[in-house]
Amino acid sequence: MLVTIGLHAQVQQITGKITDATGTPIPAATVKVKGSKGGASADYNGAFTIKAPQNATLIISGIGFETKEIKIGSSTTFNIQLNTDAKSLSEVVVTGVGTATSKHKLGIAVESVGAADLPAAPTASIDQALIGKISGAQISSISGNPGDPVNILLRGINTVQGGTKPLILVDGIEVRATDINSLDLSNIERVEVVKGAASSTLYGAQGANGVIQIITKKGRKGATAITYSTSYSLNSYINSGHLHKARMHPYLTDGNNNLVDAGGNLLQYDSVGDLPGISYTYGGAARAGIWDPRNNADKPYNANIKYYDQFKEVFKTGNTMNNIVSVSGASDKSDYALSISNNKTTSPVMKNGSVDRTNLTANLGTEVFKGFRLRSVTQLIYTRNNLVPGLGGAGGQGNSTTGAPGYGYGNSTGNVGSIFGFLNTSPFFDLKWKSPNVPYIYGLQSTPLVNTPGSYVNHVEGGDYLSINSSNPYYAQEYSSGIDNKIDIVQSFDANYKVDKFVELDAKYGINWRNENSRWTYLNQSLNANSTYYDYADVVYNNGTDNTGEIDNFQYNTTFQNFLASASFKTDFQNDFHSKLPITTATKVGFDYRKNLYTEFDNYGYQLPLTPPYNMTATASQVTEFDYKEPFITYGYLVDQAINFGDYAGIDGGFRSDWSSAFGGGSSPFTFPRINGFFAPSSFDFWKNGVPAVSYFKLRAAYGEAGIQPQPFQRYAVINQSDLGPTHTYSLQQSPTYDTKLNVEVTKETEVGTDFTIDAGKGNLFTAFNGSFTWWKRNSDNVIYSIPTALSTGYTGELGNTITMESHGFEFSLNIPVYKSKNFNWDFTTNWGHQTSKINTIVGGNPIILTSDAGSTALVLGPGETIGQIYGHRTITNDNQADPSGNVYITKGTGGQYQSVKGALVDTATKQIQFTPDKYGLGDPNPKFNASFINSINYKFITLSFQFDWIYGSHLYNQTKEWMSRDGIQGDFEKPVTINGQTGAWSAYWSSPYYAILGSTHGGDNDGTRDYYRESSSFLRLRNAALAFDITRIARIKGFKKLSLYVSGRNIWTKTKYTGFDPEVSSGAVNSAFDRGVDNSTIPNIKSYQLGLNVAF
Amino acid sequence: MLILKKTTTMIKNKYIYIAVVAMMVAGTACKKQLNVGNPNAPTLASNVTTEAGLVAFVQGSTFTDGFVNGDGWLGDSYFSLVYGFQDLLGDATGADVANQQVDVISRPDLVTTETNFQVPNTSPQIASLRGYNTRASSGAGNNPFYYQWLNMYALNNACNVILGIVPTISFSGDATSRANTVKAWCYWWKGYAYAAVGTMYYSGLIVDTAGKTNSNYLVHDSLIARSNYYLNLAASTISGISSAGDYATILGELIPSDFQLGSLGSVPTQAQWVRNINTMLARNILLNHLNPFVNGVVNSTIKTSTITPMASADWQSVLSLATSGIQNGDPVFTGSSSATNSVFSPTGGNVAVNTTGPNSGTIFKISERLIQDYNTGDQRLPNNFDTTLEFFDENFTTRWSIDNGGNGISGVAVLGNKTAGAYQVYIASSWEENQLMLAEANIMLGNTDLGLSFVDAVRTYQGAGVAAVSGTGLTQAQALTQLTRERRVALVFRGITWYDARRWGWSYDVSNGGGSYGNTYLDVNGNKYINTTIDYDFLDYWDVPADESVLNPPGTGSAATVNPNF
Repeated sequence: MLVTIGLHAQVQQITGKITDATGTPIPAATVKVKGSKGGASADYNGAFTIKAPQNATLIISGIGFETKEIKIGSSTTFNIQLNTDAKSLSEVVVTGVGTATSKHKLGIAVESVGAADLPAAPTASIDQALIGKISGAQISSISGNPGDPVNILLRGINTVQGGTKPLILVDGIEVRATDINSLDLSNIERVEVVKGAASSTLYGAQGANGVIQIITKKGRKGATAITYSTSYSLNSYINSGHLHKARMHPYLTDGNNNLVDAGGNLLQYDSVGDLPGISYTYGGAARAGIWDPRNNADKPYNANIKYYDQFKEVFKTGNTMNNIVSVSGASDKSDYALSISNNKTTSPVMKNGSVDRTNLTANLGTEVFKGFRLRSVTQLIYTRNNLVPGLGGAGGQGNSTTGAPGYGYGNSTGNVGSIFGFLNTSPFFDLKWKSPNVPYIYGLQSTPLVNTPGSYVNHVEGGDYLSINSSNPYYAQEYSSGIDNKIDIVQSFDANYKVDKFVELDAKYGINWRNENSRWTYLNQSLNANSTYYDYADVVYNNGTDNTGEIDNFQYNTTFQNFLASASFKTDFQNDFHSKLPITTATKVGFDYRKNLYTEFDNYGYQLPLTPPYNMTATASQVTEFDYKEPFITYGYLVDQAINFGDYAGIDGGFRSDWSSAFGGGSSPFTFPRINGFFAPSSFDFWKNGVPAVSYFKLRAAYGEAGIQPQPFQRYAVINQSDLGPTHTYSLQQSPTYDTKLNVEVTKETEVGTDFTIDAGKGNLFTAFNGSFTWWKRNSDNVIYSIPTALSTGYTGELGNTITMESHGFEFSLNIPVYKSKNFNWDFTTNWGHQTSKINTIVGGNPIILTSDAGSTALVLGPGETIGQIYGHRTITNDNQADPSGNVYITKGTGGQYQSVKGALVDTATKQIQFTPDKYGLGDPNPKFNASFINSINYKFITLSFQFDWIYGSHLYNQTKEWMSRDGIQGDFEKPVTINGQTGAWSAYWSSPYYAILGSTHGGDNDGTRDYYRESSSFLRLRNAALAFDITRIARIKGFKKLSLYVSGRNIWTKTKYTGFDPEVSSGAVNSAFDRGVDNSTIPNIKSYQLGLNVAF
Repeated sequence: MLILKKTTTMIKNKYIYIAVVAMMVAGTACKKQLNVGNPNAPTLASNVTTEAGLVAFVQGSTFTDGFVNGDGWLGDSYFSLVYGFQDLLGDATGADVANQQVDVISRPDLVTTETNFQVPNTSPQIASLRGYNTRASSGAGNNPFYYQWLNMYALNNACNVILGIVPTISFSGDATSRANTVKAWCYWWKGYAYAAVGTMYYSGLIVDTAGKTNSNYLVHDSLIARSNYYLNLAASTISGISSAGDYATILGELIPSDFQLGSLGSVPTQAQWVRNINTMLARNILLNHLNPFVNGVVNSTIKTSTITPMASADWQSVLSLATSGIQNGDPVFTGSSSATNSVFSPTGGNVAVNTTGPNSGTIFKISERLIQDYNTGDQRLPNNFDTTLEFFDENFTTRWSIDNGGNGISGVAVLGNKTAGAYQVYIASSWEENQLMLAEANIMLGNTDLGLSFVDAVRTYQGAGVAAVSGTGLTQAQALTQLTRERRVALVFRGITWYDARRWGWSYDVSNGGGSYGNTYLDVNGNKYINTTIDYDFLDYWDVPADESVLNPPGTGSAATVNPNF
C-alpha cells in the first residue's frame, strides 16, 4: 500500500507561470515532460498546469525564446523565466498571417521592429521613426514642415491614382481616419510590416500597398511601472546643397559700384519697396538683358545697394518639446497601460507657429471568464496647429470635381506657397523692410494710395522685370494667421474566446473618428500701399477681387468603423490525435466590414473691417464653397488554411472575397487568392550534421493577389454643378470622373526568399549572421486612370481601368552581433532594397501627359516607361545628336559656332546652352537602391547608437533652382565659366537652361522641363545618432528603476551632390504614385539636436 | 473544417458554424448598403429630366463647358485666353511673359525702323507654334492651338447632348415654342462653334453626335459652311416659334442673369436674335476672305494664302446680310462678371481687364500699334489711356497703360473696368461690327462716302468726338485706312482683331506681299520710331492641335491637319 501510494504520489500536479525577462507572461509557451508525449501550453497569463513525476524534467519552450529545461524535484510550483532567443528571426508575427506565427515558419516576408529599435525622433512620430528600419521599403521624409507626413512606398508602385500609402492597422484594426504621424510613438510595443500582395492578400481590396501594423504596449505584471520621459531639441533647416542667391550681379553701376539707372542716377528704393530703374550693364532696363551675352555677374553688392541673406531672414532655429508619462501594471486577470504624451514643435520658418500634439492612451485588458478576454485600446489625440497659411499652415479645400483628396483626408502637407515667393525675390530686397510713413502717390491715380507705415511689403520688383514672382513671408505673417484644431479618437474593442485548444473566436470593433477645423484669417490689407499699388498683391485664398481680407473655414470629419470577426481552428496531430506525424494545422475564417464617412464643409467670408473683431460676422459677404459627403463601404470574408509539418515545412493558402461600394456595378465581389509555403532544410538531421555552421536555413515562396479600391464615387455617372449668378446650373465634366463599370485595381505578386542564421563562432566577435533575402515581382491590372481622348468628342479624357503595370525588386537584411561580451556589445544591422516599377500598357497606347502637383514640371505616363518619369528637353551635348526622326540637331556647317562647355554645347555667340526642341522621357526619379546601416554599441552604462541611410541613384527635378534662374538670382549665376576664351559669370549662359532652346534665345519653352535641372539626389545621411547614459546601471538610486540621459542628433550630416536644399524632399502630392521627383520650393528637412531624459519608477 | 470527421472536434466546431452563418447573414445584409451613390453631384439621369433641370443644364454647359473649362490660365475664361490670343496676334496687345507662349505668339519675324534698325526674331512664330503643338506642350500649357479647339468642341458637344435630351422633356406653357427655343439656342451655339473653328484652323471636324467623333477632317470652308447651316437653322427655328412669351421666358432663363445687363445684355426678341445671326453670317464671309490692304494699297496681292480675296458677290452678300443685321439698340450676346459665382471674374475674366492697370503688372500690355490708330483728338484715347509708366521689353516696349474704369470723360466708351459687372464682353457680334461691315462693303463696292458714314456712326456711338470723315472727299484708300483704324480701335478685345490683320494681309510675310507699314515702334531702350515696317509672318490658319490630330489621326480622304500653305 505504501508503495502504491508512493508510486502515485510521484506523479504530481505541477503549476507555474512562464514569463519573459521583464515579467511579461508568455501565453504561447509550451511545457513538456522530457521523454513523454503530450504537454501543456500556457494560458494568456503564462500559467500552466501539467502532471509529471517528481524526478522528471520539464522542457519549456516559447516561440522567440530559448528553450529551458528544469528538474522538478520537490517543488510543485514554478515561476519560469525564458530568455529571448538571440536570433532575431524567431519572433512571432501576426500581420499577413491567419494566426500568430513564428517567423521561423513563415512562407512570406514579414518585418518586425521592436520599440527599442525605434529612435526618439523629435517629431515623436512613427512614420519618421520607421525610416530605414524596414528592408526594401522606401520611407522618405519629404518635407521639413512640422506635421507633414512622410512618403511610404513599401513594394513597387501598383496604381496611378491610388497612391502608395499602405494600410495602417493598430492592434488588428484599420486606422483610416487618423494620420500615422498622429499616433503616439511612446506606446508602441512593435511595428510589423508586410509589403506586397503575396503577404497582404488577407487584407483584400485594400491590401495592395502593404500593411503597417502597430502593436501597442500592454500592462505587465509586477509592480506598477511609472515612466517619465522628456526631451528638448533645436531644429534648423538642412541646406546640404548650399543653395543661395547670387552674391554678385551684372547690373549697371557707376564708377563707385553704385547701382544706377540708365541716366546714371543712383538707385533708391521707393516708398512701396521697389527698386525702380535697375538696368543690366548691357541690354537696358528690361528682361532682355539677361540674354545679352556681355552681361557678367562679377560685381559685389558693396555700395548703395546691399545683398540680404534672405535665407537667414526666413530660416531660423525652431524647437521641439516632448513629454511623456506612462503608468502600467497588471494583475492575474487584468492589465492596464495608460499614458499621456505631448509633442510641441515650433516651425523654424520665422518661428511662425507650432504643431502641438497631445496623446492620451489607455490599453485595458481583462479575462471575464476562463478563456474569454476583453480588451479596449483607446487613443485620444488633440493636435493644434497654428502655422500661418503659406508658411506651413494646415487646411485647404478638397475637390469633389476632380476627386482629388482634400486636405481633410489627412496625410497632406501644409500650405507653403510663400516660400516660393521669397525664393524668387531678388537678394537686393530686405524682407524685413517696412514701408515708411509717406503716402504713395502713384501716377495713374488722382489720390495718393493710403499706407499704414511700419508694415511689411508683399511684392517688390526691380524695374518692372525682376522679382515679378516675389512675395514676402513677413508680409504673410503680418496679415494672415491660421488655426487648425484636430481631434482624433482611435478606439478598438476586442473580444477573444479561446473555447478550447482547438477553437478560438475573435471579434473586433474599431471606431476611428477625426474632426478637424481649420480657419485662415487674412486681414484687410487695403491700407497697405504696396498691396494696392500692385493691384492687390495680397495674401488671400478665395478673395481674388480685392485686398480687403477674408476668413476661410474648413471643417473636415471622418468616421471610420471596422468590424472583424474570425474563427480559428487549430490542431496538433501529435498532441491532439496521438499521431506520430508532427503536423499542425490552423484554419481561419473571417469576416471584415469597413465603413467610412468623410464630410467636408468649407465656407468663407469676404472683406474684413480694419478693426477687430475679425470674425465671420464681421465679413461683408459669405459663401458656402463646398459641402461634401463621401460614404464608402466595403466588406469581405476570408478563408485561410495553414498546414505545418513540424519545423520542416509548411503551406498556407486561402482567399479573400470583397464587395465594395466603389466597385462598378457594386455587387460583384472580387476574390484574391494566396498561397505560400516554406521549407527549412536546417531542421533535418542531415543538415544539422552536414552544415552545422548554418543553424537555420529556410526557403520560402509565396503568391498572392490584393487590390486597391477605386475612389468612392468613380462608378457613378455625374455632371458638374455650379452657381452662375443666382442660378444653380449643371454642366458636363471636361474629363469625366467616372466609369460605371469600374473594377478594383488588382496586383499579383510572387515572392521568393530565404532566411538564415550562420553561427560564426563561439567567441565575442561576429558570433552570428542573421540574414533574410527576398526577391519579388508584381503585375498590376485594371489600374485606374483617365486616358486622353480627342477633343472633338467634347471631352479631354476618359476614366477607366486603362493601365497595366509591373514592378520587381529585392530586399535584403543582415544582422550581425559584431561583438558580444558582458560589458561591451555591438549590434549591427543593414537593410537594402531595390525596386522599380513601370507601365506596361495603356488603353489606346497614347502616353498620358501630366504636370507635377508641385509646379510646371512635365511628367509622362507612357507604355514601357518607368512611372514617375520626368519629361522634357535634353541638353545637346554633341553635334551628332539627332532628333527622333534621325535628323541631327546641329548641322555640321554651323557646328563651329558651338563649343562644349561643362559637357553641353554652347552657342558661342549667344553664350547659351542648347537644348533639344523635342521632349524626351528623362528617366526614373526613384532610387536604384536604398540602404540603411544601423549600429547599437553598448558599453556598461553607455549606449551609442547611430544609423546611416544611403539612397542611391535617385533624381530630383530642381525646380526651385529653375525658378530662381528666371531672374538670374540663384547662386550659380556668380560662377565664372569660360566660353570661347572669355571667362565670366555670364548671365546668358546660366539663364539659358530656363530660357533657351535650340534656335531660340528666349521665349521658347520658358520654365519648360529640361534635363539640366534633373539632378542626382543620391545621398548618405546620418539619420540618427544618440548617446545615452543609464545612471541606474552604475549607481542604485532609491525609487528609480531607470534614469537615463541622452543626447541625440537627427539628419545632422548629409553627403550629396544635389544642389538644392535637401535631396530627400519631394514636392508632389504625398504618397503619389507618379509625382515623386520634383523639388519646388518645399521646406527642407530639419536637422536637430536633442537632449532627453528617461526615468522609470 | 478540413478535419470535421473527428467526432471530438465536431462538437467544438458548432462555434465555427455559428460564426460562418453569422458572417454570411452579415454579408447579405451589407450588400444592400453598397449602392451609396454620389450624394454630392447631380446626374443627367435624375437632374436633367424637367424643364427647370434642362434649363439649368443648358445654361451651365453652354457657358461653363464652352467658355470656362480649361481656361484657367492668364485669366479665367475663353474671353481672357482665347480672345487674348486674338488681340496679341492682331498686335493690339503684347506680352512679355512666356505662359501659353503669349510672348512668342505675337512676336513678328522682323521689325525694321526708318533708320534701318532691325529687330529680328530668333524664334519665328510659325516654327515656334508648330514646335509647341504637341500633347506634351498642351499639358504644360504651352500650346496656343489647344484652347479654342478645346472650348468650341466642348460647346458643340454640350449642344449635341442637349439636343438629345430636349425630346424627353415635358415643357410647360407652349411646349413646342419652349422646346424650339432651346433647340434654336443649340443651333446658334453650334453655328458659333463651327465658325470659331473654321475661322481659326486650317481644318476641322463636323461632329453632330454627342460624345462621338470621326476622323474625316474637312478644310475650314466646310466648317464655315456647317456654321452657316446651323446659323440659318437657328434663324428659321426662331422665326417659326409661335409663342413669343414662351420664347422670351425660356431665353431669359438660358442667358445667365448676370449677363442680362443694360440694354445690350437684355433678352433679344426673335427678330433681334435673327438680326444677330445675320451679322454672324456676314462675319463668316468677311473674316474668311482676304481684303488685302498692304501699305495703303487697296486690293494688293498676297501671293500665298489659305483663303481667297473677297469677290464682288461676297461684298454684296456681306452688304445684304449686314443690312438685315444688328440695329442700334438691339441686345447682343454679351457677358458680364459679378463679384461671386460669375462665369468669369471681374479682374481676370477677359482680355480687357487683363490689359487694364499699370503696364508693368498686367498680363497683356497695350500696343503702340493700337494707339497709333486713334485719330488726333479722339476722346477715347484720353478717356482710357495714360503714359505714366513706360514698360521696356525687347519685344514690346510700350508707353501706354489702360486706366481702370476710364478717366471720366462723359459719353466716351470705357475700355477696361475691373469692377464687377462694369465691363461687357462681346461674345458674338456687335452693332459696331455690323456697322463697320456695312462700311467696308460699301467702300469696297465703290460707295466710299456711304461707307464712311458708317465709320462716323460708330465713332459717334463710342463718343470719339472727332470730325466726320464722310463727305470729306477721301479716296477709297484713305477711306479704307479710316475703316481699318476704326475697326481696330472700336472692336478691340472683341475676338476679331487677328482676323482683320490677317484678311488685310498685314500678318503675312513681306516677301509674300504682306507686312505692316508706317508703324510706331519703341525699342528696348524706349527709342521711338514712327515709320517702322513690321514683318509678322504669322500662320494664317492654325494647325489642328495635337490633342486632336494625334489622338484622332486623319482617316483616308481627310483634309490635312497641318496647314500646307505655310
